[in-house]
Amino acid sequence: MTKTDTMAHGMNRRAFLGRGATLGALAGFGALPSGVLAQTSAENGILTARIYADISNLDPAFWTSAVDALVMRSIYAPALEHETGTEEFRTRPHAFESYEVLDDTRIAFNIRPDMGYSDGYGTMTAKDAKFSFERIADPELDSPYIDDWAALDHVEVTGELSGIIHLKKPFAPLFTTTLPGISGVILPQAAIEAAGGRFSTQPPCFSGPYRIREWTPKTRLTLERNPAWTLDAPEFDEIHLVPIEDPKTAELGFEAGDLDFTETGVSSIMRYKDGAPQGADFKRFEGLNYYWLGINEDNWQLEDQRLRRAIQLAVDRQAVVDAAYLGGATPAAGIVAPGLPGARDVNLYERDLDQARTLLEEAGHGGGFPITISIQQTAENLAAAQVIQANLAEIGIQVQINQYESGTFWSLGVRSEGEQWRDLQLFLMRFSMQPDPSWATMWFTPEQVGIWNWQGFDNAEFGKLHVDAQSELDSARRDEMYVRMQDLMEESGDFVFLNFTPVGALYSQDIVPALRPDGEPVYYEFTRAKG
Amino acid sequence: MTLPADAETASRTDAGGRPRRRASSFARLVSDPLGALGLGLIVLTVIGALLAGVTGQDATALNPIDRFQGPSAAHWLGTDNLGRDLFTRVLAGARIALTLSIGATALALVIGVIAGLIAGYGPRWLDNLLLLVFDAMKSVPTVMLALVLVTMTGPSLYAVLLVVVIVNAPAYGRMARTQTLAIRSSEFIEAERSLGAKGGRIMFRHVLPNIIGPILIVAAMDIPVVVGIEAGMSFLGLGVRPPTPSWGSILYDGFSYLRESPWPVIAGGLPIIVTTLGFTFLGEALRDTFDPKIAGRK
Repeated sequence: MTKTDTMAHGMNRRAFLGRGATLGALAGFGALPSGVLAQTSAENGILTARIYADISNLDPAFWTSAVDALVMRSIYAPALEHETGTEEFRTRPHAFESYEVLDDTRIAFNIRPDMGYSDGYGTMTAKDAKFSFERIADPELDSPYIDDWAALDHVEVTGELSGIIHLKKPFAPLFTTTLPGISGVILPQAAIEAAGGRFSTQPPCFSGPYRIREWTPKTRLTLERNPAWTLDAPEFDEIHLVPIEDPKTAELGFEAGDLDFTETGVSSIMRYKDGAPQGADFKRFEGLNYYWLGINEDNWQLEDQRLRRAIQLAVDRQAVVDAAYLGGATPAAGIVAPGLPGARDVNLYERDLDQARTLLEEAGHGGGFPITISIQQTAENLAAAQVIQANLAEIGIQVQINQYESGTFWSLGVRSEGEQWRDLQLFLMRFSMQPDPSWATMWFTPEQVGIWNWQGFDNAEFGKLHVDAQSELDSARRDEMYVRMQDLMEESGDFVFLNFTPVGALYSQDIVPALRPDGEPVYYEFTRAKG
Repeated sequence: MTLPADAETASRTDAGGRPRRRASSFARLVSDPLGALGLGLIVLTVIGALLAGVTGQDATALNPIDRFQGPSAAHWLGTDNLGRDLFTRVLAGARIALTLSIGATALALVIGVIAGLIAGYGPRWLDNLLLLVFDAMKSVPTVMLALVLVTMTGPSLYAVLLVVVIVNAPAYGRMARTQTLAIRSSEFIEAERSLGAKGGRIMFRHVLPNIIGPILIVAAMDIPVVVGIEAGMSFLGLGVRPPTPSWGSILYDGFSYLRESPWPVIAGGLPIIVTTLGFTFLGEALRDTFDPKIAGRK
């Protein structure tokens, strides 16, 4: 989960003040280019794509956004990688040439013999793997991704290129999110130490197919082929990544021929599904990212669980999702997406206004009460919030919508940043997700209260299940555990699960995109269309 | 004794005591094509604001099934992303825009003129102090000011009102001060003073009536600016809270879903253009009518 992910589908109004009116007027009167696209991929072997935000940290132990991860996949080599173009998540060796599960807590691996580093750091060794994995697991480093290696005991180096990962206990996410994820990236100790032990946007070396040639903040990130990369050469000489926060602006940029690839706004999915622009193709993916209405049980007005339950019962999920995404998404029954272990089929509490009113009366609020909903400023959030406002008005609850720009919004529930969390009542949130249910539940443990768990959801059984499920290798049993965890979340009255955010990928017919099953692009695997 | 004002009063009435010059000024105003057009547009906006709520539709009622409809007999301007009738929302937005722009401008005018009178008529040190305050207030960028105020108070109509007052009051104050300085040594003021009139009486009974005309014209021309501020703040999410309709929020919703339907943008943008043109034309016509130099040239 990364906080900035919500901006992927967001709209920052201020960003449009200068350019928006002009673009809007042009589009409104049909003056925007609508003919055959003149994508930049035809020029000098450059792939130009949109990223929804600028990079902020490219250290595998301290990255902060999904954009960082997306860039790191092209400039570093993790141990494994997720395959692209598949219906379901599958992994394959990447920096690892091979691996073998010796038993539940020991995994033997071999590094590819020809994995080079840039900047004179030689070639990749098993010692580098030991350093990189144990670095993130080291509590002294205080990496936010320490949980990815929570079960790591140590890495044993058995040869120049071989080693054994020793776990303290079985760890199910190892092959689904840890080794194929950013926590599986291998970098040389000398490079990290030369950078002072950690770095941010200037990596000391590169181990992936590309390296950073130039970065103009807020404008463009240019990647070029990494000469030290000795495996299959990537197709494009350069990849230009342009930060465009608003997906609608990116769509206009794509249709103007300035981009080869962009993720679309969710509310645009139905439109593009009905017909992509000439010279372009469109694909819709079932996303893993989850969107929900949070209810802060530690707010004085919402301490009574009956009030929170009444809110749960009053919200019309279908209407909220329809309004926000214009039919592009369906309501969710949890935070674990269909297809992953622990995905639920139904919610425990469906809309029931009579029961909601009864609960309000029992709680002494038969006449309703005023409440606030805090949202980040995006068109989708605003539409969703207005439907929730109308839903709750039906049981007498008067909702005031508070809109915030992203920086302010993401501090509202963080208890280390002041007392404002006490005033937080309802809020709309979206978290990004990796293909393992532990990535969804890890943010709602008791330890996360006031960090990412803004609901104040503090359930010991949930916390224990989260830890136990990570070590559970029996898929049926694991499935049950995650279903139970989501039941606990909903029973608390703190959550109204809204949807899993679908992903729309719009791309030029001149290219063949490489996309994971959740629509996430892997840029170094993009190729030109043949013929 | 208010010699110039009294003299002017005499010239405003004919032998029968009926208003004379005022009627002729109005005739001159409406005989100017731009003035007539401006007045017409304003009247249209005011009628729209008065009619808000009589369309038989609720400006805030959601009906997502009907979203993004084009103009029809049922929805004259179509519907927005939540299926709300745009015509009804535009009329409701007109009420808010006019109430706020006229109310906020009036408040800024009262505060600014009083401060300007005091600065112009009061002691030198007070003049310098108030000038400093005017200039300091005027130097704050409007958007920055809006952001700060909204952060402190939360988005609301009151925040918009406060922004308008802080932005406009110094301009009126400076203008009132300049005009007060120009006439504070006039013979009729000296005469009042020699008759023992207090400062307050001189300022409000004798100076004010002689300086307020041009300031009112400037204020009228500022109204579209205030409409723009309100719409801009609502566009940014800093103005009126949803679901209350505002032209700015209608425009924002429309812009967000421009590719789905152009009608919300048109519905939100058109009244802003109409109102801005209306007040601008009227203000310019008023200036032409009442400025003796321009009137003389004509």
